[in-house]
Amino acid sequence: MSAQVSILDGPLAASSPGAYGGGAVICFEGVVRPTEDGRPVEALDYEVYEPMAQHTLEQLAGQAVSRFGLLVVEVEHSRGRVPAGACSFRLRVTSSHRAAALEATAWFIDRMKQEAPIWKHAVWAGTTEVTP
Amino acid sequence: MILKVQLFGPLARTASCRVLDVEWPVAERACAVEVMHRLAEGNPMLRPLLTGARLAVNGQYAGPEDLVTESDELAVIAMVSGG
Repeated sequence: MSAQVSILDGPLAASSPGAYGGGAVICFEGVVRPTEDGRPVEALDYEVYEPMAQHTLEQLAGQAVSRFGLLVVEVEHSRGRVPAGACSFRLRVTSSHRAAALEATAWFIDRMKQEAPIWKHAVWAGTTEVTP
Repeated sequence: MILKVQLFGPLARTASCRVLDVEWPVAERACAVEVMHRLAEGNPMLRPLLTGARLAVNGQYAGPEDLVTESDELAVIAMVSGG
């Protein structure tokens, strides 16, 4: 584990596209863990029921915009195999103030995990076994 | 009529198939909650996974009383795990 803090002169380099006139941008990235319950993971296979998953994520993004008064919600989700250490999900929330962006980020992820028809299966390192 | 229900994730793996057929008398109305009951009755090994599962009709979650027909695209959505 580590903590890293940098104090830099002037504006920080943009981590992503513009802020759409907002004052807060939260970019959450879900990354495939290298182990699960102590067992090494080679990758996750994402199974997606399309187009329902696309529609569900669009609906949730729209609801988040309305519910929290956001400026922009951008969502990317992987399908297929994603190796350990790689990003499989990215949520970028832009709002005028940080409280709404933080709350909306947690809300969106919780709802996605309940409603979006997406399943992941672990591909264990050193075996062909895949676990639902 | 034969209702074809798509399976995904752990359900598909447990059933060892991607689609299950549910026979339904033509004269009888088929609603979402009844389709789920029939699936559980006819597939005991799936019952634990069907707890909390929902039926999707044409890409939208169905209400319990929503009617379904042979021409609808049906899917059971259970134990999702995106992200």
